[in-house]
Amino acid sequence: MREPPRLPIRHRRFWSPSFLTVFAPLATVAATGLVLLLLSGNLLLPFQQELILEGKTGSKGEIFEDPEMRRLLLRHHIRVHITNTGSRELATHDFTGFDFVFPSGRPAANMVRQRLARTSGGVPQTTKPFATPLVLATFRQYAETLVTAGVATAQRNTLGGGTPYYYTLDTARFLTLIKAGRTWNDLRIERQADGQGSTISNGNRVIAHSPSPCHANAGESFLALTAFVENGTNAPPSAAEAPAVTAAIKPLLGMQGMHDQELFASYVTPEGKGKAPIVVVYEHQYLSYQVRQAEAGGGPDTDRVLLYPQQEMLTDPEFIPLNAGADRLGRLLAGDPELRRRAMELGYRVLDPTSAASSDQLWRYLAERDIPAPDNSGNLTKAELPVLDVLENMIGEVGGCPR
Amino acid sequence: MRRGPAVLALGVLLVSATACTPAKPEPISLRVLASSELADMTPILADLRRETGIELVMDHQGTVAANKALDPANYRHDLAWLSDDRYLKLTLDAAGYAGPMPLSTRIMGSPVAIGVKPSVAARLGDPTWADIAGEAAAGDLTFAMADPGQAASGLAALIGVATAATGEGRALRPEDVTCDRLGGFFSGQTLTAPTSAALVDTFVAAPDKAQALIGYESVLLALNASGRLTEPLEIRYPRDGIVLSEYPLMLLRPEHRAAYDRVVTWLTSDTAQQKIMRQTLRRPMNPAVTRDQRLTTPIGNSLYFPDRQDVIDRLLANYRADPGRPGHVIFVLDFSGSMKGERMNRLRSAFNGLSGVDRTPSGKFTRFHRGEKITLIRFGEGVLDERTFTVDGDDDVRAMRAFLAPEEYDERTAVWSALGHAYQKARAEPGRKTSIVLMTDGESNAGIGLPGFLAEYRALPAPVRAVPAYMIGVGEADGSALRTAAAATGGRAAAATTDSLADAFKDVRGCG
Repeated sequence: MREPPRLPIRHRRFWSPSFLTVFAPLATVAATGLVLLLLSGNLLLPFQQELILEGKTGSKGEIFEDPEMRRLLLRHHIRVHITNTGSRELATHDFTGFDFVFPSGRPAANMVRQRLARTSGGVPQTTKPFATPLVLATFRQYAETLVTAGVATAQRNTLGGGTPYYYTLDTARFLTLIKAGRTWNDLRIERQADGQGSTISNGNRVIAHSPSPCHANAGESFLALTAFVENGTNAPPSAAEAPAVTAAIKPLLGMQGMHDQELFASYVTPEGKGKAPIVVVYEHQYLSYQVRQAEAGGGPDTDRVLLYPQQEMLTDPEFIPLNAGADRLGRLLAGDPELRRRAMELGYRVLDPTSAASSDQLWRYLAERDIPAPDNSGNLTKAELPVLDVLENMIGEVGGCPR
Repeated sequence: MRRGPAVLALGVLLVSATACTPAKPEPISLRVLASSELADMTPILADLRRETGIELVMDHQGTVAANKALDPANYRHDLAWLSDDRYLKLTLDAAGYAGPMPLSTRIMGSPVAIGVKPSVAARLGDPTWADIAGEAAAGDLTFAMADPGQAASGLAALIGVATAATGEGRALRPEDVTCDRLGGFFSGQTLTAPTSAALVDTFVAAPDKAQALIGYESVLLALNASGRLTEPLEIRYPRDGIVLSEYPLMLLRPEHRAAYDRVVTWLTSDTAQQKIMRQTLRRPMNPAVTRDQRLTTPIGNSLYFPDRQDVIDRLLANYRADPGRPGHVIFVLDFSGSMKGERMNRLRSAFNGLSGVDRTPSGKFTRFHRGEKITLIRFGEGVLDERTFTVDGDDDVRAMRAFLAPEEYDERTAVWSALGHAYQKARAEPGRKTSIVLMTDGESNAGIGLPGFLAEYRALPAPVRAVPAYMIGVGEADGSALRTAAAATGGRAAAATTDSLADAFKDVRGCG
């Protein structure tokens, strides 16, 4: 390496009058600034080392892109940069160089833990800061068509009267429609008008578009939900039952052809209704969208509604730190009241310390924005996942995942 | 995990007050494999470079070729920006690739639509692909479409029309493509080109050659705005389903992640999305952007996109096999006594349907089309009569009807001799795409037997052996023998009842 050039140093008298005339006003500004910084509570910001964390996530990476969440984390001197792939994809591919992974659900988290146990001999302390159920997001004309077909029922609007935003889906009947190859035109979709009074026709078969079970937790969970319902809604298929259930659900999930990994982003565009009228997404994505709509001033979107499958598939994203810095972030997500509150504002059911999902705070927050809450109380049964090996085999068989 | 630089002195904080906005990163230049139609992004990319210091050097290629050129083991570009990444997914899946897919963000969308000249717009109304196919088959509509083997707009249209043609409302499967129902549709294709841009030039240069232009909505709107047409095209979105391209920007070389993030942030910002919409007439992905009035029209429903490469391969093979050259179908029809009455009525009405009377979507896709050669053979113990028609207009349809009208039946049925005779006819024109459809309602009780036919068939020259025979068996027909013959010739056998005769003809006739 070359020597840096040496500059001649000229000594000067610091306290010369000319220097003071320049320095005095600067010092005043500095002192004022210090006081202001102290008052605003941001003083320590520049003094502490900032932690920059790289995370590999599924759809839950979104919380780190929320400006308010970023601001709150900066107060803890943490800056997060995420790479969003599908949850299962992150579990099956290399995550060297990342500080944490944040799969959206248990199956992918289990895969990551198994891998860590194998490769690094230990599994870090993980946290599950919040939960959110799998839902089918759709449009009012489609939901009402399902109501007419006896496949869905509108939930009462919790804000009194008003149009329903939430429907309960009779999942078994819905699967029967798909098996029968019925199209939306068969179900007379043209009888339902939207808010502007216009109608649609659709010769496509009734399905729910889901991301690939090979890549994303939502795809995996929807497969598990379908299997649970196909197996009689009492228990997930056992290893012995799995082949028959797999054979039954494979054609249903294959009807859509190629899977799409960015369903929610398309759902909220004006082309969304034509692109995929029913998409498998998470409750938090919809609620957070409605909050943004309401806060943009126009009130909630009355055309986009949710179908809650009668068998609730609650997903709990698992934060898995891969080093000490990320461990601090995990503990903050689980324990810091401000971060927890912000997660709630982003539509998550935040878990209390006993790990029970509490939604009351979320429903109140929505009500303050004129967004009704789903009224599922006691109506849904809990859907369960098959054991990991069985689920893995089913995914491989249904999705034909590359290995 | 990285530690940010520790900033310690208050003085530094004050002096570097401007540092609250991060210093501009080093200018960087990225090589991008891009769909050729993205040439219209040039002014926007100049803004990107000015505002972020990132230069995208676009290597424009036809989308289909570009997808094929992407090899995860050896990417030769830093980014890829194609109209669609679904073809890449199919290729990689088919190759058994199990590695990670490139990071990908959708930037903007444009559906494949049909721009029609005002003179035909009123007649077409709000058409389906089936309506377009019916019009084209009847010789009433001509159109320009890019080569699906090279341009994504052509391939998207091919997938769209093929999916609609099944009438199934689900994604295409390989078995759907064994019978090409698109002959009628493509009989209307009078202009083609390797890319969207070249297609527009061809279309403008030959104003009398085509009445419609199939391509991206953005291309059609831009052509309308360009003043190159005397009358703007009216844009139609096929009611039975569209294919939407969403221009994902893909990161091929992960070491450029930081620059990629900046490019994506810039391109998806409200301002850039506005600019893209105004200058390229593509639909913004950012829902916050207020739409240009021309981009508020509902585009209808997306067809479900196939998830297997062999579907695309078969579609392209069918398309290439006969680009615009009508085929020859030889119908071998049983006129033995047992056909008399209801069966003959159904047979005649099936042919009426095929000559344009059937107005259902499947009828429009399978009807006889202009230029197509149709040979009708009536047989019993021997050939009763035969005639060849070239479909051109109503006169031919009437002549076919008249040919099938005589109430003249034989006592006996020489199925295999008649089929052998049809193969001799196929011999006359070995270059033309030919198929045979045989319909019978009884067991063969005269002439050569099945083994005799198979021996004759095997002795034929290879190009004639390539002609498939499709077999329709009704009533007392020997299903097993028909299946054997169909399998031996690469055709297919369909069992039908008297009631379903018309459907059986539509089903196997589409294979012609």
